[in-house]
Amino acid sequence: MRQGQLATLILVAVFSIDHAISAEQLKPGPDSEIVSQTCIPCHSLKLVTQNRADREGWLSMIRWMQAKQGLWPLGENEDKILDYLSTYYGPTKSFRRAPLPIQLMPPVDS
Amino acid sequence: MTKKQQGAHKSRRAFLQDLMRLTAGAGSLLATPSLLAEQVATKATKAIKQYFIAGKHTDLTILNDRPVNAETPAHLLNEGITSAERLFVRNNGIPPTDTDPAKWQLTVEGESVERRITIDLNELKKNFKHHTYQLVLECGGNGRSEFNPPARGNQWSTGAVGCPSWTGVRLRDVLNAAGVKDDAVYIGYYGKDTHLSGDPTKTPISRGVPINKAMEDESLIAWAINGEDLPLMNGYPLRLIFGGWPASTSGKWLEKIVVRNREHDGPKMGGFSYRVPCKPVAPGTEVAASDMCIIESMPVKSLITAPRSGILHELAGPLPISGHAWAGDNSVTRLEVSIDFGQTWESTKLSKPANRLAWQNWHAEITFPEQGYFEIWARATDDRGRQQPMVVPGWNPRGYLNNACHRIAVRVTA
Repeated sequence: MRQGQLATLILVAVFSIDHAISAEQLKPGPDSEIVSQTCIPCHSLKLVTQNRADREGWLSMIRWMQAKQGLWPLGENEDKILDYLSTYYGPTKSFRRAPLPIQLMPPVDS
Repeated sequence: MTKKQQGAHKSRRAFLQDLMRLTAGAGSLLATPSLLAEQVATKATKAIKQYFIAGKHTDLTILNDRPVNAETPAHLLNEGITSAERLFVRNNGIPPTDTDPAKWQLTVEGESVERRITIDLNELKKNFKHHTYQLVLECGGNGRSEFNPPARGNQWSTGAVGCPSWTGVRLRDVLNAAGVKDDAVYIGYYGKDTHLSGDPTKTPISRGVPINKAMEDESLIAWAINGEDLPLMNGYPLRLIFGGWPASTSGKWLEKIVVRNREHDGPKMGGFSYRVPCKPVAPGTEVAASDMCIIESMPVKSLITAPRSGILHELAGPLPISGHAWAGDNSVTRLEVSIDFGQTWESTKLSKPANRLAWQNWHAEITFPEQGYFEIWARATDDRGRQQPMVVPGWNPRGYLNNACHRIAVRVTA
């Protein structure tokens, strides 16, 4: 009986978390609906909101999804999506210790 | 990322690196200079020259031009005794234009002197015994650029420090000439620099130290750096020097010293200036001014000054490295380096200081195990067992006292 109660409790908890995740919202901003509509057919928005990248980084994710995950060509929406993501989910600089600045790095491999 | 994209990313990074080196005015220091890069660098250097500070090395990094603030790249600090042209510049106000040493006078007054005295610079030099010490001068905000959330102010990286040889008279001898009362608690300075606003009634900065620090052997009223006149930007013709304490205590263009029967209360003594939370706080915490405490001795710290960061090194040979270590009022007992991000540490050869409150030189040779990207980290330990942290230490509202390990990058090649 006790085990049954525990199982119910876990189920409720898991359901709540799942519900919370599927209700994830993008930050309000221009074209956020286009971004939502493009992403949610395949995955939760949680996968978007936990990531940070610049425009180039988001583009490389889109290209990877197009090459491997069946994402369709985005046409004129691509620029809007990139504008939105790089503005509202751009890289954060919240380091305890940042990488060395680029001017102190050795030359890249030639 | 596809191969093509990686290629594009790489060339963009290479371009950025070149650009950053040029804007740092360091074109000649490119590790693999191409003819074109050199030509561009020469042009860039010429364009930047107009911002250089008279009497200062042209490769100092200018952080601000009103007021003038500039720091020294780590590789320019390799000298055991920092030359005047390489010493950083930190101004709170506008330097004076009338600095005629023949007319310069120093006054000592305040609640806690027996009598007010005024001495000509020439009398000061003639009537008091001269002393020379090599003393570390470091801005309290050195390292501020690494704090997060960011702290406002000049974004010093590692270069607001130096250790020249200073010549002058003991502050103690001059204070004793005026007579120090038993109730003396603090000394404060006033300089001839003027407020940024141009308002002649405003003092840009007037700080000081507790009376016991003022009375130490090494606390100087100095007129010379490495045997020559002070550069204008470093306080010509007369300044205070308190080794190992925030450099803002070492007043420049010194005209007046006040001996106080309470903590000195000049501009930038109170509020948030040169203070940290009395009790540690989480990053980003809003701290009440009443919970901020004055910074005294600076923490243990070190620099790797050779080689410069960003070099290529051939695997076959050992790499000689060197630098300095210092610890405020304390001394450094150990300097270790790591090439694996702190998993293992190797001791280096650490010299004794030239005198109390001077930095200590260290050197070592590193043999790399394989080709690839390496960072060299240096970590000093002081005589009380305190070590430099590998991450940025306690956040504070104004971004003082970052003594995190210095690190440089090396690519080891075939």
